[in-house]
Amino acid sequence: MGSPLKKIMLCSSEKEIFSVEEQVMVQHSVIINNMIEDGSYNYEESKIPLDCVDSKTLKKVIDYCTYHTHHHNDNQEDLEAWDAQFLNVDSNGLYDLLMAANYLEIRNLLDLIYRTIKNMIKGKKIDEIRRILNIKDHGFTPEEEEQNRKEYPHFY
Amino acid sequence: MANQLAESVVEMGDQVCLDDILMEIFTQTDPKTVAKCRTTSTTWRVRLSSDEFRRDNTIANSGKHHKLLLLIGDQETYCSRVSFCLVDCLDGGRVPAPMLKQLGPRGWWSVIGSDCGMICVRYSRAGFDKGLMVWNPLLRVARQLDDPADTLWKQAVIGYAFGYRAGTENYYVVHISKRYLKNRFLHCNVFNSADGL
Repeated sequence: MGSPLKKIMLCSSEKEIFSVEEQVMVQHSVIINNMIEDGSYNYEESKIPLDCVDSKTLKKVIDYCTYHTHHHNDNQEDLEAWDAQFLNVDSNGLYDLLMAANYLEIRNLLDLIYRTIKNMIKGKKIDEIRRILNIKDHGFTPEEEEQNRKEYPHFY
Repeated sequence: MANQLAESVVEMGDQVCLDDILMEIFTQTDPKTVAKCRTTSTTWRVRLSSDEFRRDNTIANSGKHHKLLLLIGDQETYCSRVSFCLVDCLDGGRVPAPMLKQLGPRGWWSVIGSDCGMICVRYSRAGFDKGLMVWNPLLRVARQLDDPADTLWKQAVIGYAFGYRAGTENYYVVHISKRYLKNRFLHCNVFNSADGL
C-alpha cells in the first residue's frame, strides 16, 4: 500500500490518460494492487495500459472507486441509492462496465453488477429471459417444449 | 434496458467470457429462477444441470430462501396426491412440486423432516418394503439412502430426524433405536449434499 496522495496513471483503449489517487485503485482493483505491490510500477514514467477498457467506461469505473473510497462510512441506504444511480446505464454500458470490472477484478463493482443482472432475470417469464440471454434458438423439440409447458405452467 | 445485453456481446465476439460470468451469476441465483432458466434452452439445461453447478448453487443458497411445505397437492389438484406445494414464507408464492414417481400409487410415505431445501421421506412402494429417500423438490432430484435400521427389528426403531449442519455442508439422517431393553443407540446416516443434490 502506498501513501494516499500518490497518483498513478491509467491509459484507456483510446490512449487517454487518467490520473487517479493510488489508494483509490489499490483498494478496489486486485490486479492494480498486485502491480503496485510487486514494484513493477514506476511512479515517474509508467502508465497502466487498459486496452480493453474505453475512456467512457474507465471514467465510470474510476468514479465508482473514488466514491466508494471516500464515502465508505456513509450509511448503507445512501450508498445503495448512489449505486442504483451509477448503474442507470443502457445494456451496452452495463456490458462494458461488467467486462472492465472483470478485467480489473473490482470485487464490489462485480457483485453490484451481478446483483443487477440477477434482479433483471428474477421473476421474469421464460420469453423475457430468453430475450435477455439472447437465446434465439432454444433447441427444444416441440414435444419437449410442450412437456416443459405442462410441467412448469407457472414459468410461462 | 437489459433486453440486448447479450446481443452487444455477440457483436464483440466475446460470448465465451460472458457465459463464464453468467454461470457465476446463476450460481448465486435462487433455485426457483435457476429452474426457470433451465427451461430457456437446451444449452442452459445442460449447463445448469451439472453436478458441480448444483452443488455450488445449493451451497450458495443454503439458509437463504425460506420455503415451507404446506399442502399435499396444489390448489387445483388438492387431495389428488399428485404434488407437494411449496409456499414461500416471505412473499406467499406457491410452487407446485410433483410427487416422486418412486413413491408409486400403492405405497405409503411419511415426511421425516425438511431442512435447507431438502425433504427426507420414509417410504414404501408396496407396503412391506421400506426405504429412506432425500429429495430436492425444486430441482426434482431424489436419492435413496441406505437405512441401517433395516437390519433391526422394525419395532426397535423409535424415531427419525433430519437436518442440515452448515459447518460440515452435510445433511444428516438420525435414527434412535433400541436393541436391548436397557440400551438405546443413536445412529447417524450422513448424506453429503456436495454430491450434487
